[in-house]
Amino acid sequence: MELEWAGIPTVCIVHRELRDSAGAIARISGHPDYPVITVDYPWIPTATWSDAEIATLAATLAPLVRDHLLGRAPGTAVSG
Amino acid sequence: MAPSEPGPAVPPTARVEWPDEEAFREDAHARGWTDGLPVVPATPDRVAACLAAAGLAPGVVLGTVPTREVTVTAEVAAANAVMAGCRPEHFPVVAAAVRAHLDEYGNCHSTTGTLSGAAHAVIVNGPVATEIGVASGAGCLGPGFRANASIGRALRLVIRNACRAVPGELDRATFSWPLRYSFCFAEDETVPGWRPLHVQRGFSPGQSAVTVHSVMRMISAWDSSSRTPEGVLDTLVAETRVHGMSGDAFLGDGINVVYVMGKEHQRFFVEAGWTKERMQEYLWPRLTAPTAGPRDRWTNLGAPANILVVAAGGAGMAETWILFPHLARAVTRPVEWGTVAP
Amino acid sequence: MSIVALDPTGRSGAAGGSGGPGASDPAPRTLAPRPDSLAGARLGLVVNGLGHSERFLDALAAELGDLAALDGVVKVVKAGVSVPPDPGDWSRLTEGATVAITGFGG
Repeated sequence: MELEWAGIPTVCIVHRELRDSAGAIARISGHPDYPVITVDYPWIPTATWSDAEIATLAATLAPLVRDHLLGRAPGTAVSG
Repeated sequence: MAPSEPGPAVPPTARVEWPDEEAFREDAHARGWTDGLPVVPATPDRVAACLAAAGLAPGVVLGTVPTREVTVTAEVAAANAVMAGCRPEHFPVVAAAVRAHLDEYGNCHSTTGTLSGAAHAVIVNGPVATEIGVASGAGCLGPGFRANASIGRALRLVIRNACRAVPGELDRATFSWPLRYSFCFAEDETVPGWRPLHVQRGFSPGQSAVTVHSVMRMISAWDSSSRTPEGVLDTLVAETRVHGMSGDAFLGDGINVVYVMGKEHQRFFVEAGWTKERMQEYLWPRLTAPTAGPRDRWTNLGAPANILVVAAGGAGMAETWILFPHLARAVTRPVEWGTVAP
Repeated sequence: MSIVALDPTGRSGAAGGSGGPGASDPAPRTLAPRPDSLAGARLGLVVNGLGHSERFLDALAAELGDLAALDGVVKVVKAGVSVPPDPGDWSRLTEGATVAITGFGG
């Protein structure tokens, strides 16, 4: 949030299981509808991913991140 | 901050009215103000009595959680203490525990939101323990002691209500565990020659203090075979290294482990004339030696003084409980009785 | 007989409704304006250290660089999962990045 307040468009990547917590912080910070990219299973919430999982997720997310940074997508979910 | 100093201007805590106590009890549950158990209404008179017992003005700031836009005042802490079942004389200890937990290195935002569901041990030292009945002997880690149960619960209600650590929202614990209902005990300071934790940390024996230690894991180091200090400590080393301890750059070299040593282990050290410092010097190189296999993990301890040994419990089981930290240091704060009437 | 008690959340004006975190949240704020293109953008990465997050963000930055002509990456690795970047890193980030990616977890 502080990056947004500093004028830097930011995309936040959150696992589905932590969406509620991210939403709580966003609400507390004055951004109740802050758009995030949600990652779902098979990627596990603690981010202890294998190299293959990392590569697949990065390739999948990159176009979504681009769209978010350009203001083209409201919150998007990604799953395997 | 001295207890008699007023804090920055903070809006007064809201009052809510209910038709009767039954309505309050049900509504407290509905609002998410409880830990699942009934709570005592924090009436203005009860809150005022707590504040008077500690000599704290309502607006005194005990601490903040900047990431969550949270400021915890003495009044809010007192409200939660009343709800937890505290008597006024318990509140100075609660206030010290809240201050310790909200210290920068108590790392509230991390330890109360973590997936690991860390608990918080409130360890009481000094004369206040006896004066208000914080148990340190047989059964002291379990239910049945009003001061232990209420003070530990008060901190947890502050964490839930004031610090916004609500399950499913900012509290992301995968399991959580029963220690998060309440975890408070006193150190047994009755054994001659045993230097209490707060004295080790710079307080005089006549002062009272509270140490709050985050607890990610609690393991029993049971050893009924050893008959020497070295034997007992070697068991502690082995059990600690099975799990290991990490840390991060923010905590640096300051992370702590707490060993809650029962009487059956403690007596070997007392009989052999070992000080706590000697125990620390024996433990540290063995805990921090290079790892040697899959069930021998890195134990991040910056110095021998980071190893905190606390005596508690009754006779019988030859065990010491190991309180592994989450991402916080063990923080000690004095218990104070101010002079400002609310 | 009626009973009056204090709101234990300390969020004044929370009478009525849930006393949870939404009870007295601030007024909505606005986000930073979005650019029309990422060509020439400098990408900030805020690494919280959780799991393999650094490796993932590095990989994501590389993939994004294949999609857009970025002008470099400013990476900050926080000292702790739940603490903000230290002042030096924060300056580096806010002065060096024009867009950013963060993660939320723990």
